Amino acid sequence: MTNSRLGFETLAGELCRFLRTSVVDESVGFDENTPLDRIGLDSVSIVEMLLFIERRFGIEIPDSCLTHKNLESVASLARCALDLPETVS
Amino acid sequence: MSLADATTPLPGSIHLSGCDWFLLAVDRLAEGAGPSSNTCRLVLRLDGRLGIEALRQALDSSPLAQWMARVRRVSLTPLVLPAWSVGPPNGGIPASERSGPTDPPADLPAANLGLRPDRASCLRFDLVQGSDEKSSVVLSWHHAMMDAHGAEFLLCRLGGNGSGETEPNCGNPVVPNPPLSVKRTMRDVLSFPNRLRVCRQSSQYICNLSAGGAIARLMDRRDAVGRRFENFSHSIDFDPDETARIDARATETNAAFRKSLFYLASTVRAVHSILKKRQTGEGNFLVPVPRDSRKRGARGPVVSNQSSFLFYLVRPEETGDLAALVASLGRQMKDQIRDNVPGLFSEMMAQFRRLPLPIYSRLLSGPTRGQMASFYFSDTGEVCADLDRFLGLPVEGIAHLPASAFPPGLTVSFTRCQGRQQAVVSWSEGCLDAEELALLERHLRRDLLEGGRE
Repeated sequence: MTNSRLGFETLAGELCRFLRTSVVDESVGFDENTPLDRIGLDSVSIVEMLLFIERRFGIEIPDSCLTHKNLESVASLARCALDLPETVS
Repeated sequence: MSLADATTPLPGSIHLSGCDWFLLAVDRLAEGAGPSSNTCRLVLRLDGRLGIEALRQALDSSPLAQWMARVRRVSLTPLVLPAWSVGPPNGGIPASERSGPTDPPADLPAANLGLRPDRASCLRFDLVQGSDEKSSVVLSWHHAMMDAHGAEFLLCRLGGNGSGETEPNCGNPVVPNPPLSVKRTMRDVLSFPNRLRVCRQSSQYICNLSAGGAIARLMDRRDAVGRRFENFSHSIDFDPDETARIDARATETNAAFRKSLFYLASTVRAVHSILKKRQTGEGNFLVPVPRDSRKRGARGPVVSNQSSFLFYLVRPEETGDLAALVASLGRQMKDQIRDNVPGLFSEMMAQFRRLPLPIYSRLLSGPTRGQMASFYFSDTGEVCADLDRFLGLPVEGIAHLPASAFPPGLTVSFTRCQGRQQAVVSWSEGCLDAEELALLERHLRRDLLEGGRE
């Protein structure tokens, strides 16, 4: 079973909200499809985002999934997280 | 005049940030080991000859530049927050012109530029006119006044895209002091035990108490007593094809989204190769790496250092495999962000602003004899991405020459400009010889371009 029960809208929406409040300056406009490098995210910001997903949704994204394709945008990262097998804690 | 400057009056004084005060304390450790220990430079290479009058006019018409020329760090009583305070009008930011090669500008002003936070301007401009219809603008500044991103924002405000300070989203160049509030003061007092705990937690990183063993370094502080160092720098440039290869190698080592760690791992291995050759390669590498605390995409503030630090520890036996080292650094980064180490360290630096500098310096130097790092490292990423013209002339290239404080006497700084990667090695006299510099460059190129393969 995967994490897809969470729903794409929920995860992508929460991620965008997290970025807006904690990571990205208010002058920068973006949505879930904006390329992350255009928002100016650096490696620490991406780790902050991964830790947010871990903390908020209990989904740990392994290093092997951190590819260009999965880190293209908030939407692609959300899809990657939802496709991961659900872990039982 | 920028929108921000037009609408927001610049304050008469502002508190130094925790990082400003920290850098001044570190600078004090370096006293006696060279006068330019904390001078940074940003060099803009322009396609065309910029007139000194145009530069002076840009400086004279900028309220921010005028403000920065006038502020001094004022001497305050212990336990009162240190501040930058505006003094009487003066001649503005010093700017001079001379002739010489522009790529890179040779014969940069002698080490002692007189950038003294407490008694003189903390920044100056030098305009170098080449014989080839090119010129270079060199901004030199004392690190306590601003960080490299602040310098970048200052240049964008002064001359960005030919029209001066016109960007609408610049934000406030200076963060004003928060208004006085009894409630806030009481909160500060009541949370003192909590802050003490924070200081204790975060200080272990800088004191390296948990690391055990000696810190790897190129020169011992004891060997430097009484010496006065000259600083040198050497730029390792990569063309766009090589830069693309670096990106490919970073991806192969699973560092596509954390290139900084790929650069850091390569640098650690390169420095280790020197120490191995000297047969002194047994110490642990401790490398504090600055982390910009501004929100991503922010264009300010300009003044004050807005950085905290992540601290990386590498044991010599970990330097054998580049990919494994990147993975180890990645785990350290994740663990420290999870534990909010940069936030705790920022809090510690903010608290220590109330300590007089001599005491702060002594506190920093105590456990490690002032040797807080094996070398300094920074990756500023893409610099001046929007600065394709400066005062009307096309920008051909940008170089960031970081300060090289002793100890440790070696700084390696990575920047990328217009699709070209650059690594600048800055060192203090006696820390590297010509052969070792060549070895460092060879190892860095091999790791960055070939992923560590011979």
